[in-house]
Amino acid sequence: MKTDRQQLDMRFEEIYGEYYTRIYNYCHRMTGDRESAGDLAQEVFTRVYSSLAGFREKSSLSTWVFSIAGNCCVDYFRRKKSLFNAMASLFQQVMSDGRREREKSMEDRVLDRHAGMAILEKLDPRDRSLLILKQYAGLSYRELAGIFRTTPSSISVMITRARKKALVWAEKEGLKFEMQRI
Amino acid sequence: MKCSGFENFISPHLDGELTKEEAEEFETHMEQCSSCRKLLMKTRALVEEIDKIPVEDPPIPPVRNIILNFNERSLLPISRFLKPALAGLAIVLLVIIAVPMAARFFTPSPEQGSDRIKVSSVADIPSADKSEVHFDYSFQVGDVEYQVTLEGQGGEMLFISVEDETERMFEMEFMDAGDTDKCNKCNGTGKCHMCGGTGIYNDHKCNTCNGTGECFYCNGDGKLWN
Repeated sequence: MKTDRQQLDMRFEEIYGEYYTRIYNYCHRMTGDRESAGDLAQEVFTRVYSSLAGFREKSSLSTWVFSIAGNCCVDYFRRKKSLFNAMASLFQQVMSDGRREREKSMEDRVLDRHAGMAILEKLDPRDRSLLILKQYAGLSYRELAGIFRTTPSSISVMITRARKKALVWAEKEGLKFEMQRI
Repeated sequence: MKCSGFENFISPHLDGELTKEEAEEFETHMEQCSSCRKLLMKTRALVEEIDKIPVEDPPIPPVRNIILNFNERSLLPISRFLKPALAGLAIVLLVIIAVPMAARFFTPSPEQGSDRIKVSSVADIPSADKSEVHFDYSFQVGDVEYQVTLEGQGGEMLFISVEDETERMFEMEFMDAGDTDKCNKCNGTGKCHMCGGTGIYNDHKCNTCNGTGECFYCNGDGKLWN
């Protein structure tokens, strides 16, 4: 007979194995760099572990896990935006302009050149999160409404606006997409 | 419907979120209107561009790291956030200890023993659990007797006051931010915030909860993440 704790740990290990890659990829799309993505994914799973006992499967597991990931990313950008961090990064930028670029691995730079990544980077974190959760995680508007505490119709409006913004930017930058006939 | 209305259908269409009627209407319009068709194509290309971001296969750090980290952390439950109750306790202890100490050191002691500390009652030690807390403590500096009161519910609310015989000198209230898991739309009731759980709003079927009366955000259980 296994104790509750052991059962919880086993369940967590399953979730971890199943979702790590997806959560990592979500975080990577959100932050645009691998190191932060790895850190964030760890944070997400720490939160998943801490609240797993209270999860009563009213929503699907994936919605739940991604909603935690969404919140972690919101916190991440909030931390990044804090005055202290803003000053620190400004300082860093002044001190070592371009160092970050050099330090980035070749792989990172190749991926950064990906038009999709560039588009996501231009959006604000909320819009970015919306599009990734919709397109990469495959959540429905209803599930997104639960995560963003709003209604599915507002989600529809938010997504429409986000894509419109992205299109305007892409056009300004002269990005060309392959267009297919309908 | 005008073109602007159909523009708002483009994203839901691509995400497969249109109802059957909307989809039919949309398709009819797309056949007729070339500018909307162009926008649809552009948006679709954008969506595909984002979908094309390669999926990575990162090395997965061992799961034990998280479980161990977490369990280590939970040995010290106050390490992340100092619970309001504990913060209150810390302040009370500070008052209890620091004030008489300061008085002892900085005021000329009239006679030895006059600033003796006496505890009138200690009904409960304040704790972070949910038990009722009531804690009275009095101390004397010179001729003046001070009374420290701490009351409330452990982990939730604490009221602290320091008073002498005539006036209240210091008071402070600590409130817990509340249950963070509580659905903030229905305030944890589980009932639809529009129709209050009746399913009827303005004599019609409530369209926020679709007539079920259950909070749409938490599916009626009052919890945020379930």
